[in-house]
Amino acid sequence: MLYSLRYTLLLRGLLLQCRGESAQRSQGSIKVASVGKRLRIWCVREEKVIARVRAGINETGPSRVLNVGQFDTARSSLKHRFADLWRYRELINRLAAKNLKLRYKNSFMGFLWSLINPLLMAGVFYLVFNVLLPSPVSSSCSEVAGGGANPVEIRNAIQCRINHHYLAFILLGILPWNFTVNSLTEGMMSVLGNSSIIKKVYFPREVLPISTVVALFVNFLLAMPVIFAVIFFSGVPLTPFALLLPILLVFHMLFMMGLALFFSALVVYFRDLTIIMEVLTTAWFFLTPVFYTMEDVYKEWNGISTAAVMYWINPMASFIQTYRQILFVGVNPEFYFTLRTCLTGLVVFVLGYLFFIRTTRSLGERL
Amino acid sequence: MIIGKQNESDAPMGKESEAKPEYAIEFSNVSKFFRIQHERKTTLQDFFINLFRGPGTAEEFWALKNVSFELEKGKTLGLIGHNGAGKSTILKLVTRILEPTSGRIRVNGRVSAMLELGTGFHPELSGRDNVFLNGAIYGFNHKQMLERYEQIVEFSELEHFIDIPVKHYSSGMYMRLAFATAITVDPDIIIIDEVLAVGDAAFSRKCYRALEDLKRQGKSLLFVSHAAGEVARFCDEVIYLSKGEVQARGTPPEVLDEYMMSTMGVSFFQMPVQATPDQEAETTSAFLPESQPVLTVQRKPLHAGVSTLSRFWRFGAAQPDKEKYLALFNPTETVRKVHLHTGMESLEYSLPSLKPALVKLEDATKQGFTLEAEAEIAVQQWPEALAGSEPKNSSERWFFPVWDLRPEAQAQLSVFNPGKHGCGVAVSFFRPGQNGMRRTYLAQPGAALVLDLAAELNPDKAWADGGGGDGGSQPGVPAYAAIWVESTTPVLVEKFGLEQTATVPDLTSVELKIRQRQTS
Repeated sequence: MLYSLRYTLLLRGLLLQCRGESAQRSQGSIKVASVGKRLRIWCVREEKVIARVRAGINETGPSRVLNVGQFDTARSSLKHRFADLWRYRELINRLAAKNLKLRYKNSFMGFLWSLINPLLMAGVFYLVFNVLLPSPVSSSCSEVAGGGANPVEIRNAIQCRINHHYLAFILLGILPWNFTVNSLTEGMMSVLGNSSIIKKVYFPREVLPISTVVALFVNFLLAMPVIFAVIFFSGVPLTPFALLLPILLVFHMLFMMGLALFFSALVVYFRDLTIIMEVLTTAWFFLTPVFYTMEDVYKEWNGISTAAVMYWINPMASFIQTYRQILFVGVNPEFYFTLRTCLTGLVVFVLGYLFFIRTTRSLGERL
Repeated sequence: MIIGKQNESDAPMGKESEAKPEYAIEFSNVSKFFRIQHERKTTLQDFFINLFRGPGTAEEFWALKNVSFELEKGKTLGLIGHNGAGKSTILKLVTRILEPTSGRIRVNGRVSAMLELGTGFHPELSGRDNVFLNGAIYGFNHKQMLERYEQIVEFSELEHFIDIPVKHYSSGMYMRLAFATAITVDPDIIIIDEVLAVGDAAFSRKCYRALEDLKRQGKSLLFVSHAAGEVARFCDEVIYLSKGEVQARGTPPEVLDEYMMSTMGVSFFQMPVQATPDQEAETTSAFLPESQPVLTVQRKPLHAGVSTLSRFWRFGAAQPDKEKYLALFNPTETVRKVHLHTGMESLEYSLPSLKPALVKLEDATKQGFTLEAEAEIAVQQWPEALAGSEPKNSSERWFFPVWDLRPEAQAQLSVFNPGKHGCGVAVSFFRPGQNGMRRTYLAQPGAALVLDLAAELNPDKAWADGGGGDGGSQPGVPAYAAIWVESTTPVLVEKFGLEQTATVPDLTSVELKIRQRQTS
């Protein structure tokens, strides 16, 4: 009813415009065309379109697929929460788009910064680890270990390849790490930072950390062509294992969402976390093989390898190791190792989501 | 009056899975508990001090206690109450910002809360981006927003500015876009929280018209206010909340009476007035001083009202050549008998309750007369007051037994508040053949509140079904009313208007029956 009324008014306005003032002699003519389900009505006067109206045909109102407004506090099971989140998927897109737009809005170079930044970092690492602390690898070494080679030979081959293609090696550490640490810090503040909206309007609150991670993930994906360009131009041979990259990316994103959900909820109740997080991310950076490889820290100690312990306590080590294995070293990542890595991402996401929805019931009054 | 029905829908929750379709909002025994931390442990020192003091600094209270109500689809429900009565808590529960501590809330339809006008807007983004972002916050997908986008732009009249970042908008443009977005997203349930005072007068009217449109289309409205006039305009039912509980529930006049009775003279109005934006807007709409000059050449103050009630009234000699009437007002609930004694005869009238009444004075009264009533009434000569009935002292009750409220008579009531604090003023209108009506205002300290009574009686056409159509729309048709002004602290009340001409309202025969005539 509202719509028919509105269209009637629009049409009347169009006709008035079309008729023109009485002094003008030429009157416009009305042309009607239907485009799909919509009706387009123009007013043409002297070969010029002077007004137009678009209206839906047999439209009783906008399509009402969603019933976002319906809710019942007696029905708040996990299933309903998830359905609710699914209904608001458009909001995730919109907020992610907003984050991306605002990120580079007022800077001159815009998106380029997200590429220049890691490249500059890569330069610093090159300076420190190749010029100031050069590795004892001869330049005439072999990048490929022979068949049936022992671990030492494999390690030497990898060291050799790192030496030859340092930029590709370090970018494969820096870019995933930047995505990780930005998702963690920005995702953590996403709920606190939007408290004014949370106190005014309902939407599933988990949308906030999720959309923050999605925005950073898109940013990460946009840097992918650069990685591939560097790999291509420095001559690292690509193997079919690179096709595993999309799977790895998705689970890495889920992992980050889980952490962002967990910390964004926790920081509401424990605000000191913002300060502690600075130390934690620095420590995490050094304990993750960004500028070294897991082979460098390989040590046996009472029958337990240090690498196994690091993989165990630090899932990021597994993620970055896998990125390098499929894109840089070009070997088959162990099936169970990759499965464990992906499962870790999934489990962290589920736990983070559960923690988030359990703790954010009273968000409206805590903020 | 229906007191809030308790335990009404206590059906087992599991079985009754579908919300009753005829209700837009349903609250069953909803309670909300708050715990507010008094101090934050800001520094290390404070932390240790608080460690020894223990955690006893949190304040705990129930914001809502067992509140049950329903809003039927297509109806308008008003929520009134003092500050802290739980109105905002209910709004936040309906909009899902808070979750109830106990009880069940069911909402069947999309809720658009006007209280969040423009909160989702980001200043750096363009108007277009903000419309889409806001739509997504309301839960619309891209396609649904595309359908609405043109309407939103058209309603907000921002076609040329839609791609400019919102931070460059004027506040009026900002509000227009926000309101257009809120209203065009096609909500089923609309919450209005005293925000309609924003924007210029023309846009405010546009908003009102849009809301009336929505009401006509069968949308459900939840209206929260303490401006009693707006509540009466819109609501089918009103709930009066006090301290988290439903005090009264019923039609607007019933509940507003109850509300006014409990607010007049108690804490609410006696608080020092701080001019919040809401109140400023409210008073400017009531004052109207700059748009309509109070005194023009042909206008003059007519006379003061009667500020006292008495059982006995004595009047001196009247001018013999003029037709004289006596205006009477009976503020009690029952019909009262009034005896008029002259030197020669004694007349008995029965005076209806809460209605304007006129008695024609016969020749016999020209020598003076006395009036004796069963209960205290207000009496005034009409059309001109006698000297004795013009008290100059301020009072809390003022009566105008008969007042011509035709628009062309330009009746204005000036209430001067000589106190240091704001003061609540209630003006009741009683017209023959119609229900009484009461409107409330806030008089700022040391200032006069000027009310245009014809406009108050008949604002726009919203009163059409309330019976206001007779006064405003047809000039010349008498709209006589008895006016009763009450205030929380003593005020001075004056009456302005055009000088009365000789048209005599047809009240004598209708309202007064001469029961008995004795000749002595």
